Order: sequence, then C-alpha cells, then structure tokens
Amino acid sequence: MFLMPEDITAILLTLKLAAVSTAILLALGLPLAWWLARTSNRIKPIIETLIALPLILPPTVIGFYLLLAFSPDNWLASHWQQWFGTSLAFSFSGLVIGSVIYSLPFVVQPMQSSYERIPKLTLLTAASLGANKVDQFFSILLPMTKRSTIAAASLAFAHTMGEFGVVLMIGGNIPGETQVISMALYDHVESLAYDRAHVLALTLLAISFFSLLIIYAIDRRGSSRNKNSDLRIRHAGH
Amino acid sequence: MLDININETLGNLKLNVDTSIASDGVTAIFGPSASGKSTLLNIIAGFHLPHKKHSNAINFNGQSWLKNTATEPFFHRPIHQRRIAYVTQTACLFSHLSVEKNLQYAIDRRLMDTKNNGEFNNRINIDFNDICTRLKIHSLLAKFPEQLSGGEQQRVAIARALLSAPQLILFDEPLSALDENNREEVLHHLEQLHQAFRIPFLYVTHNLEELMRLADHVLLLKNGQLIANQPIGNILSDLSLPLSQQQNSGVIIEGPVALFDDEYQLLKLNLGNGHFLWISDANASTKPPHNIRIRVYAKDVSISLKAATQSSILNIIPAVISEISEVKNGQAIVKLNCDNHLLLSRITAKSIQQLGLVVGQSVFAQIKGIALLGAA
Repeated sequence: MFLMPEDITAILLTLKLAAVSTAILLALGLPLAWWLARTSNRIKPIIETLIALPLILPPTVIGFYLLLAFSPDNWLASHWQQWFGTSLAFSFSGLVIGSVIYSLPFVVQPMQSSYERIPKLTLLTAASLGANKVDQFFSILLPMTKRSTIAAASLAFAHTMGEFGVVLMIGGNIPGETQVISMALYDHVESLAYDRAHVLALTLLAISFFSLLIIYAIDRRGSSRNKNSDLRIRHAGH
Repeated sequence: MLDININETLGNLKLNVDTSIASDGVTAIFGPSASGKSTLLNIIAGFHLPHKKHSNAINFNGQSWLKNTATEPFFHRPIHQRRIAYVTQTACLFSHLSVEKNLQYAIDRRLMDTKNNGEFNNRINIDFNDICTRLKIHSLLAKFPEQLSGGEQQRVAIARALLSAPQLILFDEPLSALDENNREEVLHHLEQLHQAFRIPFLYVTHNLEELMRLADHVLLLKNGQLIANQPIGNILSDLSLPLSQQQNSGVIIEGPVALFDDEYQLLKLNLGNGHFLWISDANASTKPPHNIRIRVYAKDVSISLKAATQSSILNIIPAVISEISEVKNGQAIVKLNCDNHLLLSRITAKSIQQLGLVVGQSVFAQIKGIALLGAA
C-alpha cells in the first residue's frame, strides 16, 4: 500500500487548510472570546448563538448558504472577485472561510469559559501597574490560558482536518485546490479503490488520534498540577 | 492633592463624597461594612466606572481622572495611565509568574512609561534590593505565588506596588484575609514603609487597630455619606463622632522621645510644658526613634481631683476637662486636654456626679496603660 501522488496532494492540501484555518481561528477567536467573557452588552447572547450554530446545524446547511454567498451575483463575492481576481466558490480561500465558520465554536467556547475563570482583579491589578489592554492580553491572559489555547488550537485543527459536508457544498473536488482527504477518500470508495481509501482513512485517523491525544494529555497534566484546569472540551455531534 | 466629587448609586448604596485628600501620609477610608468604602476606592482607581447619569469628578495633582458633568463630554482616564498601585485583600499575584517576575512586571512597565513620557518621578527613589530587604522577600524570589503563605503573598504584592513607583498606593483591606501573626507582620511593614517612602497611601479598613496604627487622616463614611475628613487625632477624640463611643475607643498621641531609661526599659515621651509620659518598650535594645506614636484607650484613663502620690500608676498628668459626652448605659466619655494633647476617659456617670466634674475644671488624668505603636 503506497500513497499515490494525488493522495499526497490531498493530504498536503488538507494540512495546509487546517493550518491556515487554525491560524485565522486563533487571531479571530481569542479576541472574540475575551470580548464575550467580559462584556455585558445586550447583543452578547445573539453573538453566542451565531457562533454556536455550526455545532447543531448539518454542515450541508452551512455549505448551502455559503455557496449562495459565494455566487458571483452576490455583492460580497463580486467584491472579492474585484479585489483578489479569484472566485470564492470552488476555491481554497472559500474553503478557509467555510472552515473558520464551521470550527469557530471549537475555539471560542472553551476560550470564553477559561477567560471567564480569570479573576477580574488580576487584570485590573495589571492595569494599575501600567499594562494597557493589549499588554494585558499578551502578558497575563495568553500565558495564563496557554494550555487551553493549545488545546483549542489542536481541536480546531483536527476538526478542520475531518471536515466533509461544508467542503462538499462549496469546494467541489478539484485536486490541488479543493480536494481534501475526506473528498479524495469519498472518491476512492465511489470508484471501489478500497486500497487507496484505506491508506487515506488511516492517515486521517492517525492525525486525528494524535491531535486529540495532545489535547487530553495537556488537560490531564493541567488538572493534576493545577486545580483550575481551564479546559473542558465541549463536543458536539456532526 | 486628590480632589473627588463622587456620586454613584449601586444597589442599596448611595455614595456621595465631595472632598479633598492630602497628598502625603496615610489617609484611611473608615466605616462599617456596606458604607461604600471599597466602592469609593474602586472609583478612584478606575476599577469601577460610575454610571454616566451621575455627575462625577476626580482630579489628582491637577490631572483629570474622571469628569462627567452635564455640560462637558464624559472623560475617563484609563487605569494604566493613572500612576497608581492597588493592593487588594487577596494579593492578586500573577500565578504564572515567579515572585521575581511578578516584581519585574511592575518595573518593566514603569520603565516603559518613563521612556514614553520622558518624565521620571525623582521624588521617589525605588531600589529593587532595598525593597526586597525591607519586606524580607529575598528568599522568596524564585518561588511561585501558590507556594507562598498569605502573609508572604501580601508582602510581595506590596513590594510590587512600590516597585511600580506610583504616585498613590490604594489599599483595600490588605490585612483582612490574613491570620493574626501575618497581620501583625504586614502591618509592621506598612508602618515602616510609610515612614521610608513619602508615597501617599489611601487605605480602606474597618479595623480600629489598623486605623490607630497607620492613619494620619481619616475619611469617615456611613451609608455612603462622608461624615468627616480630618486628622486622626480629631477623628478619634471628637465626641460627636461614633469612634469615640466605641468600646475600644481611645486616642493616639505623637511626640518626641526625651530619653530612654535602660534600667526600667521605659521611653520618656515629651508632652511639652514639663509634662512627660512613661511608656514601656520591651524591644528597645535598638536605638529608640526620635518621634513615637502611642495609643491610650479611654477605658485606661481615670480621673482624680488630686494627684495621687502613692500609686502604682506611673503616668499621672494634669489636664483640663474640655467636654463631657452624654451618658449612655451609665457611662460617659470625658475629653481631657493636656498641653494640647487630647485624652479620652471612660468613667461612670456616678463618678462624674460624685466628683462634680464640669467642663473647664482642672483635674489629673491617671493613665493605666499605654501602647507604643511605633515611630511617628
């Protein structure tokens, strides 16, 4: 059993998608989680609901609406086309957007609850010592929630790796552009190429296994050393 | 000088405080629980933002920290631009940093501030080693906060506050979470520090002992209203204020030490006009301070019409009755003036009647017990 070049392309593309999505998820999700943890704004429940929606919606529903949003007659997609010269539908960029939306709750929810567990006085004390908001984030918040940040990133990464429904709707199956492992696997099964399906499935299984192992190892180490373990993986069905 | 005009409603509390706070020494914010002490402190620190519908103003040494009037736009100086330090009940050390890094955190941000603003507070010379020595935390530097006792944590928190070279340090009942031994130790450090560094302290407490030992000025709060803002001596001896009516009421007296009697281990406090008080000082092996602060409880002062010559009481001084309080439960407080030092005496209404005590009368105050609080 060997990996064929197209399969390697699919694996690399999937890793790239997961890596890019995770980076964006952290850049977007951590400030969002901090804002949610601190605000008493009236629109907070609405934002929380929107973020949690991907947990219960079938991925195909999200994919369907994204596909509509990406269609060239939509103003967002047409502007994108003007600025970047590429279409969002059936493109890698489109996949990244879909993955970020789809995995957002896996970053925001655990980070929000771990930020909520940091005493308000700790941050106020830092402020009184001369730390502004950005300084507080990097010098207090981030190091104090290091373990849950790593865990949330791993979870987002693993979750993006295994994505299928959203990709099916908005990405299609273009090798090197949108053909991720799960799509290639589906193809192989359709064409009864079970050997190649095995290799891909095993690869995905291994990556997922080790991603989750990292999360639980971190969580265990944290809970044995520190009572305030700030990670509870909230899981949801697909 | 800290000028505050604060009006805020928080739950059942209506806070109205319009006053000026001296920019040297220790100003205590004193009052029963739920009188609004901590809320007042948090508004001054910027930890609590008063509601915009109330008019509020805070000015510190000419710099506006908070301004909300009907005519001008709302202004609120961010906490990190206020040059304050805040010491909380629980030390609030950063748990992910070692003690040394906790201290470095304050130094780094002070240096950054100095670089950005090009100004340095020359009045206060803060040295890392000096602070660590004073607070006895050299041996703790490598440890993490969770490995420290409550008293050690609070000492580190105070060191961190000082190292940020603030222009004002706010304390929110810093001893209330400590056990008796740790309390005493941290209190001792606070007395020393306030002598050594001329940084003004704003100190919230409901403990009379802490008030007597630390405070120079007192803001007295009751149900969110300011009842008095006066020097500690006036606050304690003012018969119209609640402090003089408490069971453990008393006064503090500050004055120069005339001499130390080695044989009997007694300090001689000069009251002026040829009058002295003898105070026993058990640990006077060290050089006695020039000025001391002592406490005399009202229950330890009795009044006689003639100076007793054969008595075990060491301190019998002439005084003039300046005020007699209302009788409550058969007892009254008599305020005595001795060479412009005030004393309170708690005696029974019957004694007042038998001795025929009246305001303006010359008597002798017999002082049974004096506690040496420290250097002044």
